Amino acid sequence: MWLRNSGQKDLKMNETPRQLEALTFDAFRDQFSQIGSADGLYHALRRAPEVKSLNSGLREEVLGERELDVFIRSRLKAFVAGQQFEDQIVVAAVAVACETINKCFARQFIDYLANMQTSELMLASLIARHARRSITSTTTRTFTVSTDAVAWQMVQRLPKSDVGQSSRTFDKGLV
Amino acid sequence: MFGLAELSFSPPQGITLVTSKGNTIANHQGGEVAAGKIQAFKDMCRQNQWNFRRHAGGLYNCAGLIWASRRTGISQTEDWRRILADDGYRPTSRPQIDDLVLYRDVDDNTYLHVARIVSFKPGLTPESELVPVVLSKWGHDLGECFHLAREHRMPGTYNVAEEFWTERPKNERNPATT
Repeated sequence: MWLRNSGQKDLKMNETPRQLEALTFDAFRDQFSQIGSADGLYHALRRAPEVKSLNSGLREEVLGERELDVFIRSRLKAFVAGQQFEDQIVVAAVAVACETINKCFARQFIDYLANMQTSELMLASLIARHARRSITSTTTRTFTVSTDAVAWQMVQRLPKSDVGQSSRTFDKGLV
Repeated sequence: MFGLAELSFSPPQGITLVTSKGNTIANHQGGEVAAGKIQAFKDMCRQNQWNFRRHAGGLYNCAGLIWASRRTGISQTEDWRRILADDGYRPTSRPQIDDLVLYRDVDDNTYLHVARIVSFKPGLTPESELVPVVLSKWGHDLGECFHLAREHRMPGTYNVAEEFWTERPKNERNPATT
């Protein structure tokens, strides 16, 4: 799919948006190089200004599925079977940035990465599982406050097909 | 999805790993790392004046060095906590050689790194406390080195607490630190 929302700005071919380019800098990757736990990395990524900036870009639809597709494909050119993928943290950062994005491609990407069973991308996969768990827990919280009068009115205004999916009601961004 | 489906991956590898109480610990063995990473780690050691111990590699991480004899990586904080509880570790304020240093992210209460104390160096003055020197395996794809316990490069914005843990029998003293 090459969907593009009307609010997105046009990008020249081969131009990497700055929010994505920032993930490729050594300064970004080096800050995580000493962390040995996947959940530690997940929380560190959530707090990283570069990931927050990408999250904002996705929320404001400055960039979308097409840009992520081009970017990740470009990083995967360095993939070598049997060798740890060097840009795992970059792929994981994109997944974490997608965590609060209420778009089909964002959820699909997190799910796909979380479900991968590979030696080369195991760390990115573990981090995506934390992102997926966070989405699930946020969804649960949304349901628990549904008795609140304001929230209940919001739910009533949703089309019937959206009630129960709840994703429209928690688009808050990374904090 | 984003080109991931077009690549051929290797299945994840792990080993059977259990605590002394028989609880299974999830683990995975990473693949080799690129040659550039090996040189980058050597440079990192030189720049930080860490004593190089082993080349960068992806087979194990810091927890794998400490609790799995360099055979595999243990990546989840909940598994680290399980090992600490099941294998009889307890926090200590008077660390000794062979005790562990765990680096905890205070804000999110997750462990970031674990290392083993191998020696002590004198502090600034004769009255200062001795400074622990640890053996570390950094991250999932760097190498091993010796460094001062407080000499890590976690991002400066992190609120990192260094916790000392031991599984020594109580009241046992190590002459190196007394």
